[in-house]
Amino acid sequence: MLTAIALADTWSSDPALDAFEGVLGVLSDDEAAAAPSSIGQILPLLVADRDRLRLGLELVVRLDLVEALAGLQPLLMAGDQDALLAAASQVNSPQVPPMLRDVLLVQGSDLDGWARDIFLGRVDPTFAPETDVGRADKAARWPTGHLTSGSALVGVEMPSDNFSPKAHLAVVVALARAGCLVRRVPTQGVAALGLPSWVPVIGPSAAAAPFRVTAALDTLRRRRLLAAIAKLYPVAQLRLDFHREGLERRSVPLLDDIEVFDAGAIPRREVQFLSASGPSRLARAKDFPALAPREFRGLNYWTFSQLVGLRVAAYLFRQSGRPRGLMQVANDLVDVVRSEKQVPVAVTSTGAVVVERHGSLHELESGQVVMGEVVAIDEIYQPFPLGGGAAPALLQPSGRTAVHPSIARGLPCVAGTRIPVGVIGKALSSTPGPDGPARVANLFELDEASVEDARTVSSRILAYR
Amino acid sequence: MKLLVDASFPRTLVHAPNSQGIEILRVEGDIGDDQLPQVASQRGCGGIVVAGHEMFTDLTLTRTAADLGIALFCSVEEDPFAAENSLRSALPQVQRILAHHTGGAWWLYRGGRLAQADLPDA
Repeated sequence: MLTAIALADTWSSDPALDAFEGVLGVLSDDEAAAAPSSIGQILPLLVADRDRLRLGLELVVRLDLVEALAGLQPLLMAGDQDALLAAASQVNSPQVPPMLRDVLLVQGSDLDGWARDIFLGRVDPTFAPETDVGRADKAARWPTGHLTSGSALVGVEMPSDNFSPKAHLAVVVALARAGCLVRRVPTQGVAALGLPSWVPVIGPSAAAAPFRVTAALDTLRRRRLLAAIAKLYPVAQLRLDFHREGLERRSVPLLDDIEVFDAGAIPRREVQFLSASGPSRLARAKDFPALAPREFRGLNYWTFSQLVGLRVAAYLFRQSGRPRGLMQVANDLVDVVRSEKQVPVAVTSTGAVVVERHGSLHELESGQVVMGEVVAIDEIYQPFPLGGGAAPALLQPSGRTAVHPSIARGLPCVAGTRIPVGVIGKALSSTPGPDGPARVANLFELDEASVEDARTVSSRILAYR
Repeated sequence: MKLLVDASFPRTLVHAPNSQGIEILRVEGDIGDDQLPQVASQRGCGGIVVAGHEMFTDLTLTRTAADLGIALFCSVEEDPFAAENSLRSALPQVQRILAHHTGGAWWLYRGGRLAQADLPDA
């Protein structure tokens, strides 16, 4: 394992997972069972090589390797910031010994600035981060942050008699690659970790039924995940469950996985806000077939895929500062995202769209192998600075709002509800007076903080002309 | 006779007086647009009221509603209180539509005017 991390190909699209998967392929079941704790034991040896150490810690976080924490203790005792932040993701697991948890909390209390924000955001679900990076991290983590059934959170059963350690880790890696937040759960199931009942759990005894895949993932991630699981399990038919708390489960065959809103349903201002695009970029979108909006009663509407494409253009513009060719990049990207086959997609710093084929990245247009640095499309979902402001996180634009392409046709909503922020904004403007927010909160069965947050987001959207 | 209204309508609609004998339920949680027909079916509702005419672009929603014989009503009002008032005015017509169990899709305009929507893909 040490060799794998030391020799990891940092040019690969996902160095940490690629290195781990490479080793996992040659391990026996017994060796695979020991792999998580082994990683913890070797990481203190890499303290002089921060890049490699961070690579290993990334595995601990993304694969939820709670067994590694015991081995990390020397780093935690020494107050190593990277190790503390990684371990903070696991601290709420019941599998962490209380003494180790105490060490972590004491050492973490010495962190300051953004590191303190991230640490406390991961440890304490009630903590309100003060920095943008802290808020973004909290939004992306479990069990901290604002957790809704729109979260891409998936549980994986721990190894058992009929679920080998190797298969278990292979599933965990597949989920992490698909962009899921993974929690490795005991075979007693969801209740042991206090997970909400709607969190899908993958494993032989979890369902004794088709594997369940969260509808919270966007289409591309769902396709990646389903393809990965299909390789691992000889299941006759994968099914997509639209499971929500309190609802009867409805399954549809995978082949009927229809991308909703292919016709385009997100209005201009919301697209500007979420894609960080000005009016001129949206006007130019009409010249590109894959980016052209749907017109309805004189108004324009975009699909979620188009929104992602426009956001990539904004991101690349921020990086390169040159607008030439970026709309074509966005256009090419939308076509790839729409494709029926699962295709890992990224962009280079010069704006070329690249796709992964046979383990290497190729330029979409020329087919040439790409060797330089690339930005995985998943990164586009995170917040990024832009000019005098910032692009919000795409799926969670603020602390109490969320975006999902199939909820209220992709409009930013109060998190955990189907109430668009624009509705709250209009309701507030129709309900003047100091008690307006309280009355609106009562009318829509929300708390006042959510109403205020929705008002802020709504105002930002309305500020676009 | 029950009608499911989306969460973007204020809760004052529920238990509204003079509701033409229609029991009005409100959507809870963050269920997907395409799930609304199933939710309506499970809660015994013959119709769904949503807001924003973009809702009819969700083919899964409109197809599933058609399959289940659930009527779709789509308010074009942007203000939630105006949409509420329009729906109240339209309740007598909504009641007649629900009584016939015909499904179908209608635009709900200001003042409670209903117009059958042409949804070729549904």
